[in-house]
Amino acid sequence: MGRDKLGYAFAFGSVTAIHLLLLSRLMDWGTNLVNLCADLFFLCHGLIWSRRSKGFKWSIYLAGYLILFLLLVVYAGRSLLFPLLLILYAAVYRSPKLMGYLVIFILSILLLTPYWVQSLITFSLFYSVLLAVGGARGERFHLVMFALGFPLLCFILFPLLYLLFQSAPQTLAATLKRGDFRSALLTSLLTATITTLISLFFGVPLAYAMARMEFKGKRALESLLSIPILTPHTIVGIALLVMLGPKTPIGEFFRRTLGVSIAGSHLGVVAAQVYVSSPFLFFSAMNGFQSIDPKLERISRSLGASPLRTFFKVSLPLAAPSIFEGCVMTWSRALSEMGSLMVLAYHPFTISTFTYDVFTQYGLSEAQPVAILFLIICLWIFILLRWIREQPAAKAFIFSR
Amino acid sequence: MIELKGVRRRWGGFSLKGITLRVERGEYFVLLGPCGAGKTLLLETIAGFWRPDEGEIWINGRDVTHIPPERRNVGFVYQEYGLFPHLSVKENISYGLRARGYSRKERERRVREVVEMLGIEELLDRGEVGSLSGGEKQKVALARALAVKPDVLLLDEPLHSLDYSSRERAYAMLKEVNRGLNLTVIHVTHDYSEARALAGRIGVMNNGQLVQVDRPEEVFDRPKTAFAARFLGVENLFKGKIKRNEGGLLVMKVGGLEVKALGGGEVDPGGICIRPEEVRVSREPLSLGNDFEGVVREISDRGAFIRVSVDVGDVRFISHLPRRDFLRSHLSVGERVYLGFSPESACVLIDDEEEMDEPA
Repeated sequence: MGRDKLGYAFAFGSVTAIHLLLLSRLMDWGTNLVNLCADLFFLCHGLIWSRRSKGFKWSIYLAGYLILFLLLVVYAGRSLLFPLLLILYAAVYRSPKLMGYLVIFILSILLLTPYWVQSLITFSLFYSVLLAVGGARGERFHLVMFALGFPLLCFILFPLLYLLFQSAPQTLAATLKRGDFRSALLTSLLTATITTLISLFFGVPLAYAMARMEFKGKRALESLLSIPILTPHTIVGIALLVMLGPKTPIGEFFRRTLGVSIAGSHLGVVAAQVYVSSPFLFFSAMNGFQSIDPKLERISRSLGASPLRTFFKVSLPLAAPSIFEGCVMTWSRALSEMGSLMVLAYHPFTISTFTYDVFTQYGLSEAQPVAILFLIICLWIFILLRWIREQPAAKAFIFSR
Repeated sequence: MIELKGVRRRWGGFSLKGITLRVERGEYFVLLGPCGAGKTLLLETIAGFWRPDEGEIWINGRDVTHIPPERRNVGFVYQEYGLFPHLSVKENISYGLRARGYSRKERERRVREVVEMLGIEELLDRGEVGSLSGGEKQKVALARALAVKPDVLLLDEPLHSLDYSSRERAYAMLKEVNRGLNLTVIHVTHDYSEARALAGRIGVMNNGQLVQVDRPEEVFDRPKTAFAARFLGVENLFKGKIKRNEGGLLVMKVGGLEVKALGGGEVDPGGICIRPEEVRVSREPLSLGNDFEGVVREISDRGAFIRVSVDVGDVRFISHLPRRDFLRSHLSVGERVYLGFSPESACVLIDDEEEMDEPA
């Protein structure tokens, strides 16, 4: 016991002495003090954790110190980062999992300096998945497949994450106060919602009919309905303009009787969005209806429920998750529509046309905060919808009895 | 009471070929047949899920041919039970009552009544139907069908996914429902022991046709067609020719053998079938009416009985020996034995199909 205490005192004493006597010549006293604290913390942790084990563990622990020193101070010259990482290192030394995150952190900072935040997030995600798969005794092959697809994941995550960290919060706040920004956001949310409601109202009955009926040419009809997904959207815009534009019979009819023009109005925005995004809802709903065992509907009929009642009490509740999914897809697709709007209704601005407009007029620096804000809002709504879907109360509502 | 008058229905390449049938009130009628015989299609047509292309369907003296299923008042239970996965047990059972606009109080009363009858009160508190076992699901599905007090109950292989022991209990329950409520039941199955256990009458179905409608004993002991015989587990089926009538017994020539059988009229070409349980094999001579000598070719243990194949000349007989008899007799393959069966157990078939073995 006494020998231990003596040893501790010697260790602390010598570290302090080295700092005060030798290192004070190399650096200013403030930096020296910070480093001294980090070293003492490091030493303290090492002593606490390696009390029972001798030699080997100590040398690994000390090797980590050396590697950190070589990497950060000698190689990268980041002597200020060194004490911070040293403390982190000492703190997570006992946990290999946390140590993995630390290694990712250090490598991100050293090797991918300008992108370190997004690479830290992406690689940490990858590492977490690795840990989860490894912990679940998963098949190694699945892990290999995941690693093969990992570049794609990086490619999707990197630009968005990178963009998110490009603007100062002050710039974002200023952009948020802009009137044109707000009206574009409002237009987008409003039209996308109306689009979804219209698609819901017409798409669900159509999906049910197509799921239940068998007739010649049904496959062909389904292919026709996927045309809006397959066609380039500028072409869709041109087609709609030819059909609904100012000089066409329909456009003229709307202008004379209702006093509104379809092209260049909210009506046009909705028309274009319905055209390109309603198939998502239709196909999702149709899949939902098709996956219901038709025997359930027959049973319902035999119990005395009319076809209408059967639809609302059995088919619709059971297809509700698919329909909800379809709504989310349709809504997101409507929100992101750009190509056909450029042709049919460039004004009023929606999120995408507004961002594009700002970009072409004022360049990247102006467009960046706009894009970031839209990205944040879209992500937030998307996550919110996902979250709502998982709630028991929402499930009860969707499965309304 | 259910009456079918020449019901025809095409379904893809398959069709119901003019089914005519009368099931009395309170009768337990079992439709027996192999997969693809059209049993389910017929049942669904009775329920009104499909319109017949031709023919009429009458339920309790009412022509329902053109009436939609919700106004036919039939109860229907599918093999997979068809419970609504988004509803609780209680909501499933009261579904039909809600659809018919019963008041809350009345619904409660009827649900209680039916669960008490089936002894499943404790299931009412279970929420999700997904957590129920096969037997429980089956009872809930039955309760749901019975809650609306249907005129007829249509069961499509309702015991298919039950294990052996719960099947026995289900037999008792179904019989109780049938007798207690005096409810007309049509029960579809391909399992002949199930049919035997439940049926008041059996209709054997094959390829969209009813080939035989009879009391279970008749169907089992005196199948009329080779198809029915094979389907009901008769393994000895032979083509034969009637040689003469000998004091009320038909003498038939089967391969090189002469077999005496209790027969109806003259039929030619015809065949003969003998249930394997009726064929006895022994080391001592037998005198059962039809007695032969043969060689044991195969012995296979089937648990409840031992299946023994014996070649008599060019005819191979299959015998199912009770386990105890077999152990006592110490038969072995290649041994010469006596084989016999009574003329009553030999059944003359009225048609001739490929199903029958042609003696070599």
